[in-house]
Amino acid sequence: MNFKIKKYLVLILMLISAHDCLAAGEVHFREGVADYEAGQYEPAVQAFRNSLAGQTASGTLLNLGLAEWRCGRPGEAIVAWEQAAWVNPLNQDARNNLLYARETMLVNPLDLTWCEQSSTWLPAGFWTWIAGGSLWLAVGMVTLPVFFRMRKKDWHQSLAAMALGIFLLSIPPNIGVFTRVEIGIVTEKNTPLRLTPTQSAEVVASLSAGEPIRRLRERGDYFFVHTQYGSGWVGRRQVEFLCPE
Amino acid sequence: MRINFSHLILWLAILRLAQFPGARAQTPPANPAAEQLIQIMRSQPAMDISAPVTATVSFDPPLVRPGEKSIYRVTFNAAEVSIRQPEQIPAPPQLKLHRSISGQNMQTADGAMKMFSTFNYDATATEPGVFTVPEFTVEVYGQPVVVPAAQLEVRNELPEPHEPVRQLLVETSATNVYVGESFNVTVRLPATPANGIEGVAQMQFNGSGFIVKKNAARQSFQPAGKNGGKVAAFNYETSVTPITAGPLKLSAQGFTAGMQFGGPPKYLLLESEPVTINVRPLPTESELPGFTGAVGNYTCDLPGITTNMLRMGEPVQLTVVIRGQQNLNRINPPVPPHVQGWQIFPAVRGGVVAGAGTNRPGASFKYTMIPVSDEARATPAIPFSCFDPARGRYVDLTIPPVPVTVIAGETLTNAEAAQLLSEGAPDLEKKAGLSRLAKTPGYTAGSLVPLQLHAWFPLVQVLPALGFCGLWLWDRRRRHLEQHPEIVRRRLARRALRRELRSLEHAAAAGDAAGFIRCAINALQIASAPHYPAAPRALVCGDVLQILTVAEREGKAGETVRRFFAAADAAAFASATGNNVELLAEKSALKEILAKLEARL
Repeated sequence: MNFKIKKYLVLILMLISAHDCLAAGEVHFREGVADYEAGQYEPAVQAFRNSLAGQTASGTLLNLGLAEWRCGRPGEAIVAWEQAAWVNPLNQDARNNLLYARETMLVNPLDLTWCEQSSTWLPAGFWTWIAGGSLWLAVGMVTLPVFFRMRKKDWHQSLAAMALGIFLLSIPPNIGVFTRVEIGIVTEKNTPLRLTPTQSAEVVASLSAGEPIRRLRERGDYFFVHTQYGSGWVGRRQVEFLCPE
Repeated sequence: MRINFSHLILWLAILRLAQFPGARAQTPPANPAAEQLIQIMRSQPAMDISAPVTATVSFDPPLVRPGEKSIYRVTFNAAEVSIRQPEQIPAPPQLKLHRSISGQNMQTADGAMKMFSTFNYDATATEPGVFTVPEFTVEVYGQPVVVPAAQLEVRNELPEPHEPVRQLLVETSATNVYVGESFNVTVRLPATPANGIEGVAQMQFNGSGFIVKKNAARQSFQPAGKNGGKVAAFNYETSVTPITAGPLKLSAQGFTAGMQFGGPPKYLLLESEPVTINVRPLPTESELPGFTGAVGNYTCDLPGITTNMLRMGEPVQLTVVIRGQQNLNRINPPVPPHVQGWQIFPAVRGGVVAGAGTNRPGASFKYTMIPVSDEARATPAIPFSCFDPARGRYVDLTIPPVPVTVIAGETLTNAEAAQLLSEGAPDLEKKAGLSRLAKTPGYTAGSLVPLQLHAWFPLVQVLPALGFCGLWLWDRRRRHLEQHPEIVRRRLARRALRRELRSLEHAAAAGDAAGFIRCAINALQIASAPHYPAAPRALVCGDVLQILTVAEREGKAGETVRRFFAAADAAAFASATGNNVELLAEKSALKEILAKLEARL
């Protein structure tokens, strides 16, 4: 068989499988909604998780958080809503749910740096494309007229300056996206914050479910984290991060 | 408008009584403390700034060796801020003057306070002689003031005994410390050669990056070592705490406060040589939880609690004492943890606890704790640690839990209600806040992992860079070829030559002598054309022969070229031509010539 034909066949198969995944995600999403509305929260959680396996969607994460909350797992619910806001910062429902959950659980949100705060205005991927696109646009506007011997015009310079400005402005949010990757949520009630990364270590504080943490480093099955109540070690299985490993 | 005067008088009387309820008693002062302060201020002598401003100037000592330091000291009877001292003092070029320190002190004279400001300059001369700093004018209070001339004599040989410049001596208990680690500093002023002991007033430490504990300063007269012997000296001791890392320079300055045992008072501004303190930063990698900046040797007493039997919702006070020798007032209290079952308020300072027996003094902190669950069996441990500079590591001083018994209360406190709210959250969902289900999956993303963290992302960002690099290389090559067109001509000639060689081979293989000669001529012309430059068809036999060396031209190669051109000319212009088949045998010789011509392209 001709190589070109093979290539096109592989591409078509990939498109079909991607469509199937999306379709499967959609089916699981509807199943989850039906289960939730029927009061079957555990099956709803499973269905929403299956849906997320095929398609990471902000609405699915919002519904997963609601189902987890109904199942009495506030930590997982807060993680899901944080992830919904991570995927789509304009998802106001997820933000409202987070506010409500934190008030109810008596936990405070993590203090974000100004870089991190600015990174929450748009989805994480947008900042990357804005930075990359604006940088190369600026470079292109400066160099391409020279390469192609076009007469330099004012709008070339204006566009290059504007693109450079956008690139510089997009650097802090990109840094913020990097650092927010280390933010996690405690999922278990009374999670011990230990002095050393061992099972028998002294407990310096007890973290409630939904407590935000910032990962500083890791060792074995423990993360060294910073919380608003101090620093210490927590078990790997007792926290979930916005950006899973 | 009519005024009822009887009513007016009555109202005024009521208002008067309201303002002075104890009308019969003597009116007390509105603010006794303020009254006392005003009385103290009034009892102080007045500040005299009306006297005409004069300047006195001197070299101390006035007689030095070459290279030895003397102090050029200018004193005005005016406030320091009002004096506009020139940047450069006019001085002979052999005399180097460098501004060092300045200060202001106040002296009582004739029932009034007078301000004196002194400016010190380090003066050194490299060669012997008598150097005069001429008089110059300084603006004080907006008026010109003449600073008189002064002389410094520099001699190689000085009469003994020679007393060098008087200076303060700074001694530190440590020169290699950690940030936050306090160390003692002693400033000494040895007695004069006449054994006159003077005190030092307005002691001031110069330098940045440290805090001086002025309220803990001690002054004393003690013997100190000087020139191998012991002399009486004034000592000023205090404690200094560095707050930034790196080499810090510390020096002292102060005014001599007059002779303590007779003699006229002298108010000279003295300074010390700077001492370098190497301040190391605290290690961050081994920092323990609960570190609030305490640096030193501290211990923590067992915490005390007002009662061990608590009712849910009732506050209880936990007292913690942290003992040490230094910086007790500067210890930040340990931050209480956020634990379920307890509501803990931040610590309140309880002052400094005096040491008793073997116990050192300590800083006391009080925590107010409220149990919000009857399941609490002990107060939560409060993480705390300090950095011990002697051992070079952090020390865990976590405040241990205190066992308590919590009795369930009958009424819910606010904290209890919040706790219960968190435990029964799913049931309370309908009462507040949670959103409805999303009906569609909404905005989708490829993954929760940001694009920047994908392995392919840097490659994608490199592609435009590679594209721009390719464009740049292409543009550079194009510009180079435009400046050197012969390169293009030679390249085209080589390409055409190879084409003609292939045609030549075909003609030779087919036995086509005419085609063979035509291709040979074309090849020779093409290979020679870039050297002139000219169109290949315009070249004749002589032009091709010019490209060959003299030996080649006179030898077989020249003969072969001539034969081919002769055959071609005959084919073109002669009426009867031979078949020239014999020239086919010259193929190897021809190819050899063409190879040489190609090599010269």
